[in-house]
Amino acid sequence: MFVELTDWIAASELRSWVIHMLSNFSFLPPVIQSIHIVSMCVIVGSVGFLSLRLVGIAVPTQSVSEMLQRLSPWFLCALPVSGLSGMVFVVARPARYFFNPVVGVKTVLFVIGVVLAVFIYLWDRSRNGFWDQKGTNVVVIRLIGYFSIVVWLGVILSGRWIAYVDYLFWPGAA
Amino acid sequence: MISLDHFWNWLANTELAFQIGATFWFPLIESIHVVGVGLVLGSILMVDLRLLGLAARSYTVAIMLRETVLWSWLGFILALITGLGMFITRPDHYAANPAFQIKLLLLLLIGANVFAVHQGLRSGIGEETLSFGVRLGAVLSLILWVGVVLAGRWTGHLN
Repeated sequence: MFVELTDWIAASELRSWVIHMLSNFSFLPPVIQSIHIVSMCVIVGSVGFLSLRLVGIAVPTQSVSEMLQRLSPWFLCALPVSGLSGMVFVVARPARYFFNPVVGVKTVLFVIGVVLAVFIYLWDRSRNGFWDQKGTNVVVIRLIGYFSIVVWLGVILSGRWIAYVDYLFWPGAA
Repeated sequence: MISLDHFWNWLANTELAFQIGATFWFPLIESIHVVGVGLVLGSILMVDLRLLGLAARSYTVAIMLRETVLWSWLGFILALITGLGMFITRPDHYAANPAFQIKLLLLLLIGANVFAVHQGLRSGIGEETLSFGVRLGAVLSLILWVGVVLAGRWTGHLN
């Protein structure tokens, strides 16, 4: 499936256009990467701090329910921005990404992170501020928070390791 | 500047610089640098938007500062240590890199801006709308930090 997808992207008009743009305007790669990094920072500032709050080590005076309301628009805006800014480079060099194991790791962790964030939001809505209620099991909440932190850390770290995949899987080649 | 060149040369030949530059340490340190950047900007964004009155208005500026500035510092120290770790692998190369020079200049401006904003906050921290100077400082902070990210990323593109 990846072979067909890679070939299809590789032959597409969009790819020739993206490559044309990236190679003719040398400011574009760092600018698009910076947009990607800033959107990552917004994700850290929203779901990252929400997770730290669930664990109980950050923003103690803020309620989880209020954070979810206030920060979810930021998270939802950052997702397409990070997705699109990342996709530019995938379209330009599909083979580099589709056959890179770290991309698979990053994608799976990213999907888990987003699903978990949506779950935390919906669980709060449907259960009248579940995460802030007195009776809620603190250990479970903390575990969910830690899990979310580890997942998003994995997304950020693997993002950088895409470029260094040789170190991980073919140490001799590096 | 001969002495500086000697210093860069000595730095690049330390055991630590060699260890980082020749092994998986460099990508590991670089990826931790990105996590540090995420913490700095994620928390700075909250503070600046609160100072501007655009977000988190249900919390006072004092509470927001108390709860987030610590995380900015944590992220900054993380980014600083990992940044130094990468720097010593090719100090002469980075010192001569225009994007890196701009990045350091922007960080200096950020330092001055932080100082100015905190001075401005001493009076009138409890007011409904903060002074023009403080709000200007918050806008400058956002612009400067995005500039740091851009210059940082650009550093890697100049060889």
